[in-house]
Amino acid sequence: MNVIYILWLREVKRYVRSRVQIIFSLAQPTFYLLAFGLGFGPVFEKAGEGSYLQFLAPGIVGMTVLLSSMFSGIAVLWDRQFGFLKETLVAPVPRIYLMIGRTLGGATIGMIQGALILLVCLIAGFRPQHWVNLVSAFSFVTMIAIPFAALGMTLGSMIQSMEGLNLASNFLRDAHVLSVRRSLSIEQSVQGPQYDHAHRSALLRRGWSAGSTGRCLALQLLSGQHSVMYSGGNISYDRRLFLLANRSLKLLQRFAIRLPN
Amino acid sequence: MIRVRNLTKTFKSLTAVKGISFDVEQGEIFAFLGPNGAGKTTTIKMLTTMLRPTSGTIQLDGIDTVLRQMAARKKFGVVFQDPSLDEQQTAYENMELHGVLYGMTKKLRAERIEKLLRLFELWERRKDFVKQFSGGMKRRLEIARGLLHMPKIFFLDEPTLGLDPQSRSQLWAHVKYLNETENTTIFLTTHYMDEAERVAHRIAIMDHGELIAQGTASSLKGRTDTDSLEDAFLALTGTSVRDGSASSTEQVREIARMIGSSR
Repeated sequence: MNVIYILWLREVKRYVRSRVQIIFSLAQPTFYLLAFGLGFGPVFEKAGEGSYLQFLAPGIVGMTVLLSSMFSGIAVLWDRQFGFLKETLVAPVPRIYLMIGRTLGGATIGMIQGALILLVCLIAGFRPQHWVNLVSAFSFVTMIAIPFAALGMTLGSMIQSMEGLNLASNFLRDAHVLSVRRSLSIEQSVQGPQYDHAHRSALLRRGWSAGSTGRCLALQLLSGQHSVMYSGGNISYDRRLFLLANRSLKLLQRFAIRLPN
Repeated sequence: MIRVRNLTKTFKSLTAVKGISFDVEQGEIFAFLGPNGAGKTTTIKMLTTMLRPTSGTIQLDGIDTVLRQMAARKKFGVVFQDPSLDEQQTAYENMELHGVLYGMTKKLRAERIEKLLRLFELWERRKDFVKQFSGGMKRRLEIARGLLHMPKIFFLDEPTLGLDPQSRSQLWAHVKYLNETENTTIFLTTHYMDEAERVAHRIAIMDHGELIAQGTASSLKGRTDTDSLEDAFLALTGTSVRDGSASSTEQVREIARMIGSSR
């Protein structure tokens, strides 16, 4: 227990101490928010869908949590480069404790980042439908953060070199873009007036699960959670995440095949 | 204290360690010498459970390192060839983390950390980040950390690489002091023959994965009829320069793997 705690503490300390990094990592989602928010906002409203910020903000928070959890997981690669990994590997501690400690640390960092971005969104004018929703949103986001921190760490421990990291992060970026593109096209196809909300989300969910049958139970659980929290316009939020998760897992499989050791 | 029998390690096409056997007694300082690529680091990695032997057995204080890995890990401390500190944390935090990993109680941890940091003259700098330390200070901190959990065996893999003469002699003075006061068994590798001769009770020389000589420095000199350990070493291992372990095929394979994964 102590071991898990001290490894978690290490991750969090490292994060809190790198203030410059915190600011820069918040810059990108803020930029997203401003660029898309200001750019698409009026069009979105003309189309009769209501406030674009309300639609966009949860997605940005989710993406921030997801990506920062994953990248703090990948940081295990830096520990390999700087040698610290060896110190933990020769210690009389089962590997699973090391994994749990780091995963929770990475997830915590993702959550802090998410909270900060939520704050930015609130300042920009975003309001949750009910403040109570923040509680369920919190648990939802925890369930995103933990698997993705673990996924990041899996990637980080499979990649042996810095060159590999570049390749991997390019992949992840591609996967991200692709998943957004696909989610937009699915969205358009079911956006017509003949579908009511329930029908629409059922279609969307089917579209998602067809691509990833049985791939990750935890993520399927999340899909149930979303309908509790975000009704209506924000469906694209979690589906986008699932598609990204789906892509990442496919990638992971590909990596696992290509990198035997 | 250390008992190695027919230890062998085979990588795909290369046998790095070819059935070596040796014993190290409790309280002994044992130096392991050999040219680059002789298999020293592979041997240390196997002794410290970082690598699993292809065949043969290792016992540390009577505990088999393969069968009872966790118990064996508690018996030794290690300083690796390349640094393994967390540069983003302070000296004290590095020590603390180590203490927790080795399951030390809070009280014992605090006492022991203070004692070792004072001994290695790092107590004043305990709140500084490791990235601000000089090479010599980092080494000292690593050694202090390796000794924190009172290991019975202490492995040092080329601990003086890249240090100035002052730091080197100070480091060996500390190591000798700990060997005498805490009766720690010390297993070290180095490229500096004078250090091995000055510090070690017994020396083993390894070449091409085999142990080619073992004994005290004077017995090695006597056997090869030379005046210095360096000459004895050269007489035993020859004068040709060795290639490192990072062969060109390995590099090509690495590139192939990178290209393969990008498709």
